[in-house]
Amino acid sequence: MAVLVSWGCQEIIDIDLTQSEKKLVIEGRLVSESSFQSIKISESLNYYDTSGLSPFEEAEVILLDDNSNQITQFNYNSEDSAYTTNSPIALSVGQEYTLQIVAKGERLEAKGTILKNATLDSLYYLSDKELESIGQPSFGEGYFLFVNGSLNNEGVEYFKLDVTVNDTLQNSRGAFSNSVLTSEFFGKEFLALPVPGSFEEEDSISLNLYTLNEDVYQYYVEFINLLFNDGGVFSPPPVNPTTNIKNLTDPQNEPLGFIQFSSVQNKSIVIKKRE
Amino acid sequence: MKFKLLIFLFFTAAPLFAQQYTISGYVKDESSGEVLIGATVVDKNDRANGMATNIYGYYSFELPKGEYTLMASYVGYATKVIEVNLTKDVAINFSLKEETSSLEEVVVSARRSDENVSSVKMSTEKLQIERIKSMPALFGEVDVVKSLQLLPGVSTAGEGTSGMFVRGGSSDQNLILLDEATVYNASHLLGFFSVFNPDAVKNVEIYKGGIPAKYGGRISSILDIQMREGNNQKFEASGGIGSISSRLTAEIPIVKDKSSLLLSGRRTYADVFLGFAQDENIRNNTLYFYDFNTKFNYRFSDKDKIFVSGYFGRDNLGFQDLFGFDWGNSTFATRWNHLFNEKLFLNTTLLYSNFDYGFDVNSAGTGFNWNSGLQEYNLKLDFDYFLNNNNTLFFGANAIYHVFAPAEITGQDSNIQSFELQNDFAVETAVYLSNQHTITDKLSMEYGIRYSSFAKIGADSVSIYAEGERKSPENEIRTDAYGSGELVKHYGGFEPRLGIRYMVNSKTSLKASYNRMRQYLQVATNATAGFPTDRWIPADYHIKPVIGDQVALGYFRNLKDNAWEISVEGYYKWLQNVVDFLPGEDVLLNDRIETAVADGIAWSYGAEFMLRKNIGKTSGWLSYTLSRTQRQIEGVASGEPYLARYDKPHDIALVLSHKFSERLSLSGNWVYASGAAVTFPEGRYVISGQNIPYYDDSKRNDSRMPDFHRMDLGLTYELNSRWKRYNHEITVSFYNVYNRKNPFSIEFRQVNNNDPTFNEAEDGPITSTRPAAVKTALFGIIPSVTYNFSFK
Repeated sequence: MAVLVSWGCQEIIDIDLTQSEKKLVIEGRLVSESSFQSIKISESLNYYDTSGLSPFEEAEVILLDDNSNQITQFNYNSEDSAYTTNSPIALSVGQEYTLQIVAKGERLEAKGTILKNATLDSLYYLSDKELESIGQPSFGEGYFLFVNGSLNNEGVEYFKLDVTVNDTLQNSRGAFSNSVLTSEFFGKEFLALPVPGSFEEEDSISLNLYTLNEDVYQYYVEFINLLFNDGGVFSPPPVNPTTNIKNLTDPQNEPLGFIQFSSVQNKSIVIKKRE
Repeated sequence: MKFKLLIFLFFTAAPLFAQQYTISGYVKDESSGEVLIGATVVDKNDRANGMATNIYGYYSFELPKGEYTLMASYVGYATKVIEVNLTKDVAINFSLKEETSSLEEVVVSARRSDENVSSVKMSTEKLQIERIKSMPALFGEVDVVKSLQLLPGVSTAGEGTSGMFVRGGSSDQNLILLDEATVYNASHLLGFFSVFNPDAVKNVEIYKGGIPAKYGGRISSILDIQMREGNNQKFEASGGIGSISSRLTAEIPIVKDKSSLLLSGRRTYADVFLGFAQDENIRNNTLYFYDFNTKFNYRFSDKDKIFVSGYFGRDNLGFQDLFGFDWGNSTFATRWNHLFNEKLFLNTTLLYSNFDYGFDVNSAGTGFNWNSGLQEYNLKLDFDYFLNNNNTLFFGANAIYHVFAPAEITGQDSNIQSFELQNDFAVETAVYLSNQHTITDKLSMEYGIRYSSFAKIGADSVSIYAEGERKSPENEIRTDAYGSGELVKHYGGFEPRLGIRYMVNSKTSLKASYNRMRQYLQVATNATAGFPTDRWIPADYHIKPVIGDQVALGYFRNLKDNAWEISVEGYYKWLQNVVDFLPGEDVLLNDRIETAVADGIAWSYGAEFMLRKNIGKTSGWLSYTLSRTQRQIEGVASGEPYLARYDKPHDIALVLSHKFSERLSLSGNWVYASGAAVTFPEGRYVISGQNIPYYDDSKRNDSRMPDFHRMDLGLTYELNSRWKRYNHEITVSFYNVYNRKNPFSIEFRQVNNNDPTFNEAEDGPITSTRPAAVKTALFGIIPSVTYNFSFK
């Protein structure tokens, strides 16, 4: 399809669109790393509106443990346009949490468990020429990263791998779609698992590997499907990704977005020219 | 009451005359020996006495003792007349000579001149392959399926694509037969070309409704394509050199009058040009398809004849040595025609169909092969019993063994673990009986019944879910295991068929039809157009077969000695157990496919208007379809009815050809259709730095793409030839003559610098970004040149 579309002629057209009521948009990534945990709440825009999302500032946000005891409250921070904890906290691996939000008079809730992360034993790189010399193909020129490690949970595991190069998160549409991973077809050990993308000499690369609960992984999959939906005959009808946030007040009126509960692990490397 | 009706029907079937004798035989093309389908043999003095040939060119009817002038005729052929003194049963074979008609007599229909009015059949179209070949085509590639899309009630998914949507049915609801073998994926190059090489095709017929009892297995249409047999009189070769492909066909007589062999192949050569590219990334890519048809026949006697035919086609896409993707169909048909006597004709068919695809990813650490396929083994018995002049009985049976191997993944020295989805097995059987019954001179009927049965068998393991709960892994309460061949689930039922024709006068008729169809296989996809990777799934413990009913009414009138045809048909079709696949669910690698499915109902209705001119220098048709197609599925669009994407209220096709001289002809098509029903966003938001449109999930397909229209023209000139047996011509065609930018898709995404094709690496820094609607039009004006030749 990409070949066809690149061959075709593209132009911007004017289409009158129905504008629906503003929807709450919630995005949160709560992690096992000690940090100021943060939740972003905003409202959707008219499609053609070129302004940024306006933050929704009048919500109440709390985090509960699996016995429904409040752990912390989130307060709106205008500097970050987000709700953050008052102090750094770390979520515990193996623990289930509930995030509760009250906004627009409705009570919203998302649950998740912090899963044990994979073990990343080593991170290394090979140039395209080195790959060629060992009989492996490469997608273009440059350096390619590989990781060795193992999985630590039973059953299928889900991850999001954020790759930051020289302090810039790789977040193009393609990079984003490559960042969501499943172990469905992997064994417990992995060797020479490629990290998406190619790199150059002196690149400083940082990997952040987040564990995902299945519902958030499913959200990402549907989100990516929608991101790549071109509205043509080869695409399914577009639908909003299924959120893991329940609306306890009005179950039909679910917000957009998700809350991710993750353990995280970091690994860094700088690519040096080899003699 | 039903019993009395049956008695009545068969009472009128009993011979009412004294001694009757049977006249039977075959009608063939004199120069090639090919049998002629639908040719008529009649008593010249009473044309009501006679019969049309079946698809094997056989006819049989009765007359009392006496002297007769029998007349055999077929459009485009000189009529042959034979005097007969009938004192016993006789077998008479006719060999008709192709007519070199004057310009005024050019005939373009594949049907008997008044068949439109006189036949009980309705909602059926035959297209002559020569007409199909004369139509201007995308890249000059003559395409059987795209030609059918110009008929009323048949529409396309999108520009250039060869999927068919018949009277509101989805593309997997068409049974596509090539010499009776099922073709599961009739597309090359992701649907932009169909798999049928026009040089190998003899007859194309599509049933949109009023489907005879001998056919079953799909809800919406039957596309029945017969391959040519090959000339059994003399060697012939033909072919063509086109803009993207070339073709070559050879017809070889093995034993004159008894046996011939047809070999026909074509191949695209885009990859040949890729090899000249300077860019290594392009040079090392692969992109081509080929197909090969062959057919052998041998006539042991007038009572026994065998046909063996096959189709083998394959597409290949490759990206350097990193990625390969190939897919293809193969079909194999062996048929034995046997005449028990002059009244009872049997065709025994043994069929094999295969469709498979494979990926080959050669990536460091994650290399794997992915293979998928399905097979069908089919045995059919079809009897034609020419009971008397008023009744022809058709009865038979068939049994199909289905094997589905949805996916087998094998890691190639990588982290990917080998994995195989559970294979599915099923046995589909059917018996049928129908009667083509002339009740009076004015009233004829074709009534029949088909009983179809489908058994999903093991080995299988079936997940059982908590009663009343959504079918999902967390609601699974147990798994039932079934051994090899053990019955997992059985479905079956009657499929009544009825067609009625009433002749108002010799030029006008009214027709009505009803048919019920059952479909036990479906394609698991939510996209409108098909990919080769689409997964066929059988009815099983959880997924029920689709049941479709259709009623149609029609008015048919011919004018000016059958030169003009006018018809109006109205239809209403309703379907049960239609499935939709839930968003985000994996259907390709899902062993519990029922967890990804929601079912419901669908219905469509419409009116089809057709004006056709068959004879003369200028011929063609104008058709208009007014229709509506809706679905209602639990969990989709809040459970409310919604339009199918391929719902096109207005669909117009104008197909014309004009012969300026014996050598020069011009053909043209103009099509207009309402834009596809689609879902547009109602807002946008940002997640993880990605702009994403927001949709109102309580609506689906409530907006429309812009209307579609396009004109194509083709000019054919027959060149001078030094050799008597060598003919050649050149066709210049223009697809989309007025360069209309019809939308193939409308995408809602961020656009940089107001340029939808902006590339930061090549076009400089980003100065602005905004959300936009981006239309992609695939094809502007596309000229093409094709050189065709034949050696006869």
